[in-house]
Amino acid sequence: MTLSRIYMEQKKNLKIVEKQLESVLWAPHPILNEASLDLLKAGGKRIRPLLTLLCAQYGDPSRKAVIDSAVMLELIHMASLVHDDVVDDSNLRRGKPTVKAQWDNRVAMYSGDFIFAKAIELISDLENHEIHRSISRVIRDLSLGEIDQIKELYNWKQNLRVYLRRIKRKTALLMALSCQIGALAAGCPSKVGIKLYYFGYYLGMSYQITDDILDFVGTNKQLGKPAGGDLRNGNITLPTFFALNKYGMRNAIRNVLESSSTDQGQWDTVIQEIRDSGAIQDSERLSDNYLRKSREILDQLPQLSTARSLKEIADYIGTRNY
Amino acid sequence: MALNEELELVYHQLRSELNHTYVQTILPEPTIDRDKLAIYYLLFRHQETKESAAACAKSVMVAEIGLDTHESMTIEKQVDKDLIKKRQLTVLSGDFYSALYYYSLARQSKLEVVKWVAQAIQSFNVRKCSFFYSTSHLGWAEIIESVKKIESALVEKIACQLGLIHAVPLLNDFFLIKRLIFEKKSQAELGQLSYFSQKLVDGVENVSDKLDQEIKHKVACLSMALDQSAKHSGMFPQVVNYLHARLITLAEGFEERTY
Repeated sequence: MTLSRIYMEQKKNLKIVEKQLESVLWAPHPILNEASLDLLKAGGKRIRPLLTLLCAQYGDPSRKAVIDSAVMLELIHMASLVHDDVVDDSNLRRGKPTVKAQWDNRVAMYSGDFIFAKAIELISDLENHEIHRSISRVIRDLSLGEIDQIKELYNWKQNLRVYLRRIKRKTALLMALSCQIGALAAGCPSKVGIKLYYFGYYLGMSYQITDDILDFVGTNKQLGKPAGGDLRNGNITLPTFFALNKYGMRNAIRNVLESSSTDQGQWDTVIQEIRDSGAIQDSERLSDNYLRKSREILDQLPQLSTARSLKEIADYIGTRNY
Repeated sequence: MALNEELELVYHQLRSELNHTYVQTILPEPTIDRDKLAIYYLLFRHQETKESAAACAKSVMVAEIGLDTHESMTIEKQVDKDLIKKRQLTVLSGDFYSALYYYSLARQSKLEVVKWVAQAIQSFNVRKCSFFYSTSHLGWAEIIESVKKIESALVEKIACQLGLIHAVPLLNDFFLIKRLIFEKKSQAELGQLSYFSQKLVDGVENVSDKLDQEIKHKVACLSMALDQSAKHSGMFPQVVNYLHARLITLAEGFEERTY
C-alpha cells in the first residue's frame, strides 16, 4: 500500500476534517477570518489528522470525538505555525505570504491565540479526563520545546540528550498525541492508546531528524531557501552535532557560529563539509532506529489493515526527500 | 484564614507557578493583576472550596497573563540580536502561559472552565482586532467602550457563567477605571501612552484632559453603583466590598497623583 493510497482510503474522513476546519475557523472579524482561512487554504500534509483517523480504526472510528480530535490537532499545529513565523521572522510558508507578512506581528499573535482557543473549545466537550490530561501536557511541552530551542541557539556544546529532548517536545509529542487520541477517542483501552502513543513518538522523532537532514541535503528549490538554514540561524541539529563531536569539525563550526559570520561563502563551505563528513549518514542511522522501534510497536498490536497503513507511513518518513 | 491572607497565598502560589528560569533571564517577570486574581478567586468561591477556587482563579489568571504577554509584541522590524530574542520569547512565553491554563484546569478536571476561558480568549482577540483594525474611525466614546470590553473579556465571561451576571457592569467599570489610570500614569511617567497609544495619539486631541475627565466620571458612577449594590443584601457582598475598598484606594491615588 502506498501513502497516496492511504490518503485515498481516508479521503472521505479527511474531507470531513477539512470541512470542519473551515467551519470552526470562521471568525467574526474580517482580518481574523481571512488570516485563518488563508492558512487553511495553504494546505499541508495533514499528517496529524491522518494518524488520528488511522489509529481510531483500532476502536470505533465513527465516533464524533474522532473527527473532533483530528480537527483539534490540526488547529493546534496551525496556531503554532502562525506564531513560529513570528519567531523565525519568516515571510513565506508553503510559497505563500505568512500572516505576519501579510498583516503584522500583532495580527499573527491574535490569529494564533484565536485558533488555539478554538482548538481547546472544540475538545472541551469531550468528557474524557485522560484525553485532556494528555493533550494539555503535550501542548505545554510543545511550548517548552520551542523555548528550549531559543535557549540552545548557538550553543555548540549542547549534548545529544538536549537535542533529543528538544525535538521530542517540538515535534514527536504532537505526533504521539495524534495517535493516542485517535485510539482513545474511538473508545480503545488505555493500553492500546499508550502503544500508539509510542508509535507516534518514535515516528515523530524520525520525522524531525529527517527534517533536520533535509535542511542540509535538500536543494534550494525543495527547501525554498539556501541549504543549512538551521545552522545559519544558530540551531544545532543532529548532523551538526555529529560533525562537531565525531568528525573533527569543532573549530570550523565554532568559528562560524561565534563570529556570526555574514560571509555566505564561509557558511557554504562549513555546510558542505558537514554534508561530506558522514554526519548525514549517522543521522540517518538514528532516524532509522526510531523507525524500527515504531514498527516494533505496531507488531504488538492486532494486525489489521491499519497496522499496514501505519507501517507504510513509517516507510514514507524514512524515505521522504522533501 | 482571613480573606487577605487567602489572596496573598494564591498570589504567591501563582508567582511560583509562572516561574520559568530561562525566560526570566531575558524577559521581566510577568505582572499579576492582584485585583483580577482576587476577583476571580471571589467569583469562584461562590461555588467552590477554597482550594478549588484558588486553582481556578490561578488558571484563568494565567490565561490573562498569556494574552497580556502577547500584547507586548512589537511590530517594527528588529535587527538587534537581543531584541530579536526578546521578541521570540515574548511569543513563546505567551504560548507557554496559554498552555499552562489548560494544563492546570485539566488536572483539576474543570473542563467547563476550560471551555469558558477558551471562548473568552476568542472574544478578546476579536475585540482586539476590532480595536486596532477598525474599518471606521473610532471616536473617544467608542474607544473607551472598546477598551472596556477588552479589559473585561475574561472576567465578564467567568462572572456570567458562574451566575453573577449582575456583577458584570461593576466589574467592567472597575477594570476600565484601572486601565485608564494606568494609561494616565504611563503618560505622566514616560510621556507616552502604553496600550491604546496609536489609536489615541493619532485620532484624539487633549488625551490627558480627556482621561482625567473620564476617570473622574467613571469613579463617581461606579461608586454610586456599588453603594446601590451594597444595599441589596446577599448580592455577591464580598465582590462588592472588595471593589468598594479598592475603588477608594485607586481614586485617592489618582487624585493625589500617587497612583
